[in-house]
Parts: sequence; structure tokens; C-alpha cells
Amino acid sequence: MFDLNVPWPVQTYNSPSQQQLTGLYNVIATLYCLGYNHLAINFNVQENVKLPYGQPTSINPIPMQQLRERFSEYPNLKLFSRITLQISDPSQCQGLSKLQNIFDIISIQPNTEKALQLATTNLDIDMISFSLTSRLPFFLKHKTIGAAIDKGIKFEIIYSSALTGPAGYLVTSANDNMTLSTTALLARKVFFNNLMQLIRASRSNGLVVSSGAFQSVQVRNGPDILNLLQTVGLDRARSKACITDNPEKVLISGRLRIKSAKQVIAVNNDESMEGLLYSNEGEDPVKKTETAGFTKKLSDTSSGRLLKKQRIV
Amino acid sequence: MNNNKLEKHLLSRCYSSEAKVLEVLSSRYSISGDQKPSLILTPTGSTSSERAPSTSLLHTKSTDKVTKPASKTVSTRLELKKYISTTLNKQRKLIKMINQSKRTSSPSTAFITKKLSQYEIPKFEEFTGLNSLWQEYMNNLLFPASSHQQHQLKLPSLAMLLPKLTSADYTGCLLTVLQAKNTQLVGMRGIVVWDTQYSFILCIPRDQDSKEYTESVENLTELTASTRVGGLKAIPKKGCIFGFDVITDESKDECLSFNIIGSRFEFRNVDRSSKKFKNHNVNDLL
Repeated sequence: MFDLNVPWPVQTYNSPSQQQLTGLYNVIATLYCLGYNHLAINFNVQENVKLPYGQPTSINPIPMQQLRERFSEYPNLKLFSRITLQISDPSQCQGLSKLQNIFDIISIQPNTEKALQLATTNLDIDMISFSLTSRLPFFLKHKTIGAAIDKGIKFEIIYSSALTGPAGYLVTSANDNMTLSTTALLARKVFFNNLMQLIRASRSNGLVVSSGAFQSVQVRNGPDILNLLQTVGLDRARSKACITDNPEKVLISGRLRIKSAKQVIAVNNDESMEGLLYSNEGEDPVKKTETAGFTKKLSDTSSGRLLKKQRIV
Repeated sequence: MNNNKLEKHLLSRCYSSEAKVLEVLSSRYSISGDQKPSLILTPTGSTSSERAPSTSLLHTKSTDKVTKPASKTVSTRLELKKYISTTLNKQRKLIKMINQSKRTSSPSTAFITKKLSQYEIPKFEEFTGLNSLWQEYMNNLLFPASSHQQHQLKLPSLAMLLPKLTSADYTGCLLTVLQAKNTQLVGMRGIVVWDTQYSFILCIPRDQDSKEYTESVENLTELTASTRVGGLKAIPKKGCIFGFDVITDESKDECLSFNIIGSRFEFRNVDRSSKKFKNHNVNDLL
């Protein structure tokens, strides 16, 4: 299973506190225990944050190498990096092409209809996410959403925002019955409203469900997510695709941007056949286009052995 | 040396023997010779008895007969097509024969090799030369002389390598099918004989070499008839992911592996060289 939104605790280039980092490690460990083995660490950038385009090595604040070493004893755990750019003014998102070789997945959070329009038509991105707990400032049209899905852009549903939100439970009466506070109720109402809108506009296709959890309690397992989606009217096969197939497609399209020349010839760095198109092992996490990491021993590959045998004879 | 040819032609009309012509020419251009600026041409009379019938060196009779094509419609492409289809037919026949004889007794290796030469089925070993030529071509294409610094290969970045590979020629490349919609094709490998628009025509190795997982098979009778025959195989590009290795340093045993995404590769190699590729929806790649 895939979870493409494990948020990086800070939204700027300041280094996170030790407590925040522990929270991140706990989320990763919990997700792994629940069966998610492809995780993307998401760096969410507000519009006013200046990205250091001048120094390509310092654009990505996430220490992927250290994270990978830390979780090296978890078999089959694959970590990817992702950036989410919040856009409200379409003219603001220059230099997107400079990010392409640095992050595995590039996504956009449009705050205005114009930004959504731009993201679906012009930008070369993998995913669009909305902040579902606050009322969307525009109506989602099937025409724009459908065009994006035809292009291969997926839409993200972040479920943890419905679980946390502005307030928790209230103790009202002496019987100790727990009821939701009004603001929390409102947040959930808006969440479901937006979710229904998104499902309607996308005609149940091209959706990706991800956690976006800052704490490990906000993480849910696969069956829970399927239940949630079935309550809003998605059939079983489609809701399953939201956590398996669709995120994989996002990963493939994002990774092929780095690994391949326009999705025609890709460089191969993994012998295992699963995840051939998106694996990122053996790759330099900072300089992704460096070729030196991809060299292999000829006798390690099966066709190489055959070649060698023929040459000696 | 171009004018040398002309002079040779002129002299060939003057002297009867070719050795004499060459001698004159060599003395004319050698540093130690007389280096005359002029050529002495003796008139050729029809009366001279020692002269053979006047034939210039340009118009020497060729001993091997040039066969004219039977009709205008014969082209290399059609001939190749015909060759491939007849070979595939022959292979089918041979596989059927082996399968039938298997019911009674398993066919011996000698029987199969005899039949292979009888049916003129191409062998993998015949194409290994083509593969080494291709490796040389790839090395020249990907790592031009500027990337060699002090006899050490400095690998260019992926952004440099990959676009070159999209417009490269793959005839002679050893391809392996890594993923395919048709699971029967997975693991198939061979040297590309011809690159068509929708498929690769491979020449596949026989017996243990045929697939990676057949390397350890000891009893040849366990293998299917088609792996024992080998020969040509047409593999569709659609839905397949192919892998190939480029040897970067043979002495150090190093190589670079690449994947061809077949669904995005459905072009004739002539069109592909000038094609501008674009990113698409990846729904068909999964």
C-alpha cells in the first residue's frame, strides 16, 4: 500500500525540533506496521516561502539519506520525497522545472480557481491536493477536473484533517456523554461536503487517499479507509484503487520524470522486478541525475552473464 | 589519392600489365623516386601484338554473376519480411515435430542440432558479432572522446545520456523482457535482428541460455520444445518493458543498465531519430 503524504513537520527551511522529528519517525513506523511500505515525505511550501533556486542541493530540506539509514532495518520500506506548492497567484510559480530533478513527486495545492486552471492545463505535475477541511473558495467543475485526470494528474484526499481539526470532544452533561464541539462538527461537515464534490467532479476516477498525519494516532489502516470511502459512495474496487493503483501511478509518473527521457528510456537501478519504474535505491538522493550511482557489475545481471559467456568463447 | 585513380585509369590504357602501372605510380609519388611532374603516355596502337584486348581497369569483368531481381516489386524490406515469416513457420514445424516425438521418446540433442541446420534456423551464436558491434557503437555514441579524461571514463549525466538513447538504433542489442502484460514473454531475451514499428524481432538463445531461470536446469528434456529450438521471435513492444546493458568498462566488468518502455517506443527507427517525445498519462504503463 502507498501513503504519499507523510508531512515534513516544518513548512519553512528552519530545521525541525527533536520532538517534531520523533513525531515523524513514529508516523513512519506506524504506517509501516499497518502495511504501508511506500511512503512519501511531503514538504508543504507556503506561497511566501522563497525556494533557494540558486543552490540546487539545498532545495530539499528533507534528509532522505538519514531517514533511509534510520529505517534501514524495515524490509521493503521505500521512502520518497515530495513537494507541495501552495499557489493562489498563477504568475507566482516559476521555476517549477528546477524542482523536477530534486523531488520524486511534485504536487500543487491551488487556492484559487485560476491556480487550479493553470495547474490542470500548463504545469507538469503529478498530483493536485485541496485543503478539504476549509470551504473550497470555488466550485469544482467536471470539465477542469476531468481534463486533469485525462492528463494523468491525480487528486489527493487527506483524511487526517477530518480526524483532528480545530477541536475534539466536549463533555456536556453529567452522564458523561461525549459530543463533538461545534467547530469540529463544522470541520467534518465541510470535509465530507468537499469530498462529495471532488468525487462528483472526478466521476470517482483518479483519486488518491493519503494520511497527512502529524501524529501516529491519526493514521488509519486500509480497511478503515475503504469504509470511509464506501460511506461517501465509492464502490469497493475504486476505493481500493485509491490506496494501491492510483498512488502507484503518481509515483511512476513522478519518478519517470527523473529516471527517464520523456518516459521512453529509463535508467535501471534495481534488480527486483517489482516497482521497476519508480524504485529509487542506489540513487544519490541529492544529485539524482548523476550517472555514477547506476553502474553495475556485469556479472550481476543475467543478460550480462550471457554476454560475458559469449565473449569468452 | 583521388587523382591517383584517374592516373591509374589513364595508364591502364598505355601499359598492358597492371604491375607496370603500379610501378610507375609508386615511383611517381614516393619520396625517394624520380617524382616526375608529368606522365608519359605511350600511344596504344591496334598493331601491337603483345597487347591484350583493350580493357581498362575500371571495367574489369567480374567473375561472380550479378543476379537481376526477378521483378521490380522485390525490395530488401519485403525479402526480409518473407525470410522472417518463413523462418518462423519452419520453427513452428520443428517445434511440432519435437513435441510429437516427445510422446514416444525424448529427442536427443544431436537430433535437434541436425534438424536446426536442415531447417536453416538462425542461431544466437551467429549474432553475437552483431552485438559486439552494437556495444562499440553505443560506447561511441554515449561516451564521446571528450568524456575520457586521463584514460578514465567520466560518466556524463543522465540528462545527457537518455535523449541520445531515445534516438539510437537497437539492431544488435541484447534485450531482456523484464515486465509484460503477457506473462509468457517475461524473461525472454535475445539479440535484436530487426526493429519494426510494433515489435522487436529477436534471435533467442537455445537451451540453458534461453532465460535467466533456465541457467541451472541440468536435464535438457525438462525444457520446452520452443526453448530448445530458439531461432527468431517477434515480441510486441506494447505492454512490455525491456532491459539492456551497455558495457562501460570491460576490464573492470562494469555496465549501465537501461529500460525501454515498450508502449512509448512504438515508432519505426527512422521516425524515432527525429521524434520529439512528450510525457503522457501513465495509466497504460502499470
